[in-house]
Amino acid sequence: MGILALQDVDYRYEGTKKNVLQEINAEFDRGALYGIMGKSGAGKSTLLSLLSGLDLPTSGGVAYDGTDIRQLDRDRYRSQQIGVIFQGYNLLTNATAAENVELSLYLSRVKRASRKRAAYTLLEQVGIDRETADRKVLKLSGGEQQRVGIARALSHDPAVLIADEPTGNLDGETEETILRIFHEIAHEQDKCVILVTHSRRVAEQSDFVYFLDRGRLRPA
Amino acid sequence: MYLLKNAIRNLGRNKGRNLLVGIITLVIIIAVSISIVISTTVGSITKDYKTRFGAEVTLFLDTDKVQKNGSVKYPSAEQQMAIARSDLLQKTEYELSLSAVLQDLKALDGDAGSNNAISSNMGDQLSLNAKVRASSQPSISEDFVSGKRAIVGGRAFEKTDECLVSEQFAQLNGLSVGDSITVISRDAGSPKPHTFTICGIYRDGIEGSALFRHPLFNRGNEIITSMESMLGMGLYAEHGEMNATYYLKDPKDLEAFQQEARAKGLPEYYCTTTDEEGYNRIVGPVEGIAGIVRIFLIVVLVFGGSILLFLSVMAVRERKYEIGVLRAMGMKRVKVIAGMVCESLVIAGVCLAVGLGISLILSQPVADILLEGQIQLAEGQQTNQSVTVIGASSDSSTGMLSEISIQLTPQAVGQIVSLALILVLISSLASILYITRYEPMKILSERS
Repeated sequence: MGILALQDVDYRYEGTKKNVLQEINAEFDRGALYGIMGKSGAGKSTLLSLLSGLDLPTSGGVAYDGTDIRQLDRDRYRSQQIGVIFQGYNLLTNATAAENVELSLYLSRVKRASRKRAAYTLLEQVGIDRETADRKVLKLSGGEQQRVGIARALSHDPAVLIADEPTGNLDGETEETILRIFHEIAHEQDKCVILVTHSRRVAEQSDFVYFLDRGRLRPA
Repeated sequence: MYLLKNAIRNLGRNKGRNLLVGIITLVIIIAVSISIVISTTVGSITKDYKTRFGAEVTLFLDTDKVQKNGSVKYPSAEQQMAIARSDLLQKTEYELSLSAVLQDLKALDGDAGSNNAISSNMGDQLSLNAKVRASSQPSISEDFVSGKRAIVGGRAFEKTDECLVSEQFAQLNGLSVGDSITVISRDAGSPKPHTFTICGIYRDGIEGSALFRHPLFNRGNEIITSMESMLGMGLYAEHGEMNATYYLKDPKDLEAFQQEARAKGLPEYYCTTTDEEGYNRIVGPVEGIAGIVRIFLIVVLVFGGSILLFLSVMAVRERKYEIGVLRAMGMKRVKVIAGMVCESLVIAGVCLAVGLGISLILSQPVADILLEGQIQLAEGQQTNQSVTVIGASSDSSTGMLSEISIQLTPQAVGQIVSLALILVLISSLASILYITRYEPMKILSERS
């Protein structure tokens, strides 16, 4: 079984009868870059919320390293075991880039003395220099904010990184840079990277691609 | 520590909103502090007054009832002591006295009355020429407290049947400390002698009246002993008198006290009264202030709390996204709430420090203004009525408490800090409820 697995997952919104996801089965391993493609409204963000533990399937299970996430502390799962990069970045806009990463380090129980230094190091790894790191997030470009999101997600060295539309608002050059970072994370840091995207170009750069169509997931 | 640092940082990030919350919190804390400081000071003043003066109860004869009854009998010592055993009383003071005859001794002004055991117009009745007095006061009597009398030789009585005699009396009879004196009943047939040992000699600063001279009215003939000794005298049991002065904890308990006293044998023709008018005149304005500040405190807390709650709801709605991000990152609900409560605590802490200082400066002038208003009100309401009672001893010339010195007591600080914490809780309530209700995906998807 892979580091992350979906087993017969069905999901429907509360109060509705129709499944937006049905009979989802998939496994994700370390050291690989996965692309999950689908049109708008296919259920990609819903799938991402199940993978990240923000929500639970109606039936079936999501297993992390062999354990159903229902049996895990889901707050701890998100803060210490997986990293999530959200569509729209979801950074704290009135904080600096470094403070955003520092917060994530605090949640993963990194000691106070080394937090600030670790935040700057992580940001440098994704191409954010010290000066940029001390700027408020609102003053950063889309690409820079995306990198801050990646640094924050990597701050606790998770085995799995999940990104929702990571290049959606970026220009071509920046998109390439971001994808290159994901490749390095997957192959050089031996992590499982899952990109949820509607971009064929992004999907083609992945090692494995899944299609999400009318609630069903199938390999490409 | 991170939560506190982050809280301070967050406060700086939203300066406008937090400044508004801070100002409102500061105003509330100043108003609350002034109210509490004045209230606790007034409370301790009235408590101190009640402790020191109580409300003195006087027994007076209802003449109508006396006429119906025909005869009058003063409550016995046992009855008076039984009446004193009441939870409504703060204390009781007893004054005991016994008119007696000196045995083989001379009395001052003895030439003005019979000095020896010779028959008088009353058959075998001897002329009374001495008074034995006792008091329940630990300081012997009021005269010794006021300085009218002072022990100039020996000591105060410590054992039973010890007594003090006056300097003049001792000189007249060649007595000194350690000598014995005996008093007897005026009934020659049944003298019931009682012997005292002189343990001390007192000097009396008050001269006797030159107009009306009689041994019984010469203070120098007073033999002073303990209440215990007095109650043990067979002579006292037959001829002694006791006057109990009762002090109520609260003058409002007078009716209840009278009922209790009746149940314990107080005759119907004796009624009780207090100088409630005097008590209210003295303490009334001060108690009036307490009422005003109490109402003011409630109004400030209700309105202030409502405004803070409203601002808190607005703030949480503004920070909904931030809450969603923190929860999506894996921060536990409790920590998110703790962070927001921390921010409120920092604001409250700063406002408390500043507010306490300002309220200390303002409390005294506010209290002075309120007291002046209350005094003017009280003076306008004062009537010319007076009540004449037998044995009334309240000092109607005592003026009302016309100034109060405001103090910041530990009790007041404790109350102010508690109220500040309640304000923090109120202002955090909205965020607590919000955070516990919503899931992060819902918040973030709404933003998307």
